[in-house]
Amino acid sequence: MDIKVNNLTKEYIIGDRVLTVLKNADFQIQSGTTCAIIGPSGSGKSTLLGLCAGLDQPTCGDVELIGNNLSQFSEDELAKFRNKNVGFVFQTFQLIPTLTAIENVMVPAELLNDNRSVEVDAEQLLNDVGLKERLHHYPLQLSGGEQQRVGLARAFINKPKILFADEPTGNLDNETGVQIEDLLFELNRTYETTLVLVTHNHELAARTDRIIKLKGGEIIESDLP
Amino acid sequence: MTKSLHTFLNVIKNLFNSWTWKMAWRDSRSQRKKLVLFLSSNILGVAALVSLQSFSKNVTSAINNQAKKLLGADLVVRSRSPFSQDLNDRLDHIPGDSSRELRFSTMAYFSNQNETRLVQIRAQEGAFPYYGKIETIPGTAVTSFHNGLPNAIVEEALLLQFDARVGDIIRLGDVNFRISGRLQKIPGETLMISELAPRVLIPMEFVAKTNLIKIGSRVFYRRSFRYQHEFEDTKLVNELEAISDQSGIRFDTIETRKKSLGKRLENLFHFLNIVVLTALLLGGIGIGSAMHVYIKRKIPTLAILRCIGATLSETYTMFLLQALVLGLTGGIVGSFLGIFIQQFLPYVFRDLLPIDIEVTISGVAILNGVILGVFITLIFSLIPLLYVRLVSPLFTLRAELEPDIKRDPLRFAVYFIIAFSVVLFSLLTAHKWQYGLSIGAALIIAFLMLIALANLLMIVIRIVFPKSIPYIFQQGLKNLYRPHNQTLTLILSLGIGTFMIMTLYLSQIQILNQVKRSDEGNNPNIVLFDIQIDQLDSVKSMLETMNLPILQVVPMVTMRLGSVKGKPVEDIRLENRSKNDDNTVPDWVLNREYRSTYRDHLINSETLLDGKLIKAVSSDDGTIPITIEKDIAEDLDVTIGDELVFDVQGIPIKTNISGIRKIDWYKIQPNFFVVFPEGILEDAPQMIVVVTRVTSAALSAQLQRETVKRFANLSVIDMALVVNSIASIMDKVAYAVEFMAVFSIIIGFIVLISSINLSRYQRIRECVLLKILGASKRQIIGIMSIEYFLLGALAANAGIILSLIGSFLLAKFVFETNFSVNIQSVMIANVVVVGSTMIIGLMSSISTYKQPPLAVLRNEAD
Repeated sequence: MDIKVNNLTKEYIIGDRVLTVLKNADFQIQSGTTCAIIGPSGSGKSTLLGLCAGLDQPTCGDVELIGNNLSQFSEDELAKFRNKNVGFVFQTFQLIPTLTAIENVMVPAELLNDNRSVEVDAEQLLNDVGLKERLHHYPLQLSGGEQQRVGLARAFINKPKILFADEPTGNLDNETGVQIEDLLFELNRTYETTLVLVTHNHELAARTDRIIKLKGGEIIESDLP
Repeated sequence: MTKSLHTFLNVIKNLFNSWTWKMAWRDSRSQRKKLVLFLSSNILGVAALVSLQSFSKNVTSAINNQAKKLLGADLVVRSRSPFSQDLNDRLDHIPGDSSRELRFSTMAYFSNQNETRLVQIRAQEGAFPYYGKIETIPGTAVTSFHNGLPNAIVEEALLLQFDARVGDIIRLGDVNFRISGRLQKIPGETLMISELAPRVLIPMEFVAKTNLIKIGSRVFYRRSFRYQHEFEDTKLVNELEAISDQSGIRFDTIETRKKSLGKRLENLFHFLNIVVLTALLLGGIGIGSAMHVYIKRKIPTLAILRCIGATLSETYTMFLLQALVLGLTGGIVGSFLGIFIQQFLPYVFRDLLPIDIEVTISGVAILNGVILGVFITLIFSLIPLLYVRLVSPLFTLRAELEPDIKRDPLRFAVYFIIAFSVVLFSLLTAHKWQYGLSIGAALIIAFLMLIALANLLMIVIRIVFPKSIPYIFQQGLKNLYRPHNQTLTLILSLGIGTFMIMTLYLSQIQILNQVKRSDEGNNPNIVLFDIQIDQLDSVKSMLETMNLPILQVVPMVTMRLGSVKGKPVEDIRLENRSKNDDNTVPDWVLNREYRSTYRDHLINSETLLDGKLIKAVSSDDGTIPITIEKDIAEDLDVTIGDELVFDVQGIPIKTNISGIRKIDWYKIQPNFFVVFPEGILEDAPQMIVVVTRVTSAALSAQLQRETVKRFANLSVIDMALVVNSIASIMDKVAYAVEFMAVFSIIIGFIVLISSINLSRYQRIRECVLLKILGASKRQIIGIMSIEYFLLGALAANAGIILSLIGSFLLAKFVFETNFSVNIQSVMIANVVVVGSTMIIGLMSSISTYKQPPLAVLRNEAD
């Protein structure tokens, strides 16, 4: 089991009011499978993703990734864990604007510092996503689809066990969106990654092994499609 | 605490991590051009510091290398009265060469030009100076000076003033002298000396023939010596020291001259250091605010890095390295620029320094510059670096989660470090820790007041926002308090710059106005002095003939202090030596020659603070009631009823203090520390001063000519000339100070340009959105103009308010003058600061109006 979510709750205190954005989420995701979290805006999808990826601390409950309880980790340990085991794909691509495409892809591998030839791997990945000719372009010089391809290459550079994707096609047109989806699932298969994606797109969700539906911060359905 | 320590240790470890260096370099890529602008404020601050420190080291070594030239001799003994026979005998035994000199003020008459002017005569005998040489044009004027003819070497500025030439005649008393040369320089003296009384050198043998020296004439006697090689002067110096107090002589050796000049210049450089310190701190604010915006724009990058696995210490080190390199570059470039500027400083300070400066580079100053460049950058980057600590990786998913340092308790530690560093810099700059602490505190208070003012302003505008005003005014006003506003940065940087410059300027005109006021209205503006009793009636009749009022006739009697409260002055001096602290009676008060007067009334520059004024007494009344000036009473530690004994030319006169007077010294007329009642001093040897008023420069010139023609020994002080001379001296000092203060102004503008540039993206986005929504170019310019106008006006007036407080405190406690606001300079400061803010603000955004909205947004993005 790659992901175990136990009774996860997230609350925010606004003034003297307690706002519960996620309530008692409880599920498990098997290694190598794909899962979509869907729901309307404000249903708690991104909150759940952030908590699962160790980007945020829950109010109560816990998350276990590949047998590691995230609440046991310090911030720095979490960062190192993410670096080694988790990949991210974002709706707004989140590339570093001052780095070229290849440099953006290299960053997680450089942080891992495991003495492999980072540049060769990055170049190969960019080649795999069809950006062979765009290695030294800055994000501003790339189209939205190209930026998301760089984002995909960056997500897979450390061969993560788990990949979290937040609306990966949300900022792209239909045609480009489909190309990115194909690429995402293809890479996911190649690297045998557990994929968790948050989306509004029911067609995209339908391509995953399992769908978790959220509404008002609660899981209302957690079944295979 | 353990967590912070852990992070700190990791930051140190990451300084040696190749990834942090690589990322710091890559990340700075697109901003490097902009960083040059941010950097320039730091560069200029360091440049100002290095140039001044390096130059002050040049001055110190010049004083050491040219020590002999500074004095012109190995020993100079001087006195206000003729040397006693015993002293002359002792001095005559000094092996080597010796020269004599008399110095006194008198009127010079240029016969060709029919003009007169108060000058300082230096009657010389012997080969002084022995070290260095008097520079004249032609050079032969010095060699042929003692050829038995009545030659005069005359201050060059004086000859230029009267269009006189070498070969013309200058009349001094009863003797016509031929101008043999233009005086350019005397070793060890500055040109400032020539401002009040231009120097005229004449051979000693003609002094008696001039008939200028009479009873009561103020003459300074000097003897200069060049020792034979083997002469050891320790014993002589000890002897002179022992008799100096009693006999009223002063003496200078090369060592004492070096020390006194060193101390004087040290004070000047300490003051300039404070000016430079402010420039440096202003540069720090500049770079701090630049880093602030830079790091805020890097928040998304930080969040991404944290998300994909970079630790807090790795991201922190990455930005710390950028700040470090920025500081180091600023330090190095600033040091080199400082060395370049240093080459011009001998010219800037030429009127203030009595020595030739050889410019050499000081390695210590450069090292200081580099260290300070780095230190200032790091210290002022600490607040922006707090953001790095607070950025959550969750920002990648939720862009609204911007870090807020107002919630970070660590900010108090950072504020403390900054305040501590400011005080530390001040302590290192000032020569006394008390001054350092005061300067540091004053700077912190000024900074805090400006911060408070900026915040108060934002609150006030928000609360009392006028809703019925036109749209562009509303928008302009809102820009002052909306997120990403420039209010605090600009008010702080421009306010501090304006505060400094205006304080200097206001204090300067404050003093000048005080002096000028004494030349206005019905105040006396001409003083005739050195009048002998038998000349008084003729002088009065001359004034009456010219229809000039006789405003005051003031007799002057010279005397020395014999005892204070029954204790002889010698005993007090001995006590002073044994105490050796600040609570002793100052030597000058005990040793000075008092020139006192007698009268039955107060004059308009005086106020009786305590006691009473006894108008007249008879010589049989025993102890004489006198009034005394308040400051000298404090120095002597005496009050009403205390006894003072004066030695009036050999006769002891016992007095007691009946009243204490305050004197407005800015009213330039004969003012006295000690005033006797009528009936006692009338028969003592005395000279008379007569005070009158003329209504025009022509009348003043006519009176001076008439006086010189009829009474050769009389001197005339024209207040208009005094005002001009003081203004000229102040201009020379102000020039040097302003030269250093200019750095602050430039840095202020750089901070202005960089902070406007930094917020440019924010402003441009808004402009573009407004443009898309249909706002015209005129409306957009209107909004920006209003915002920059308000920012400029607020910053200028915040600085002006602080400078008014500063100059009021200086006027009250340092210059002891009445404070008045100079409206004209306040207006000028407003126009300059507001105008520049608007021009720079609008210029930096104007190009965006011409381009299509989306192109602008794309170009402005990183």
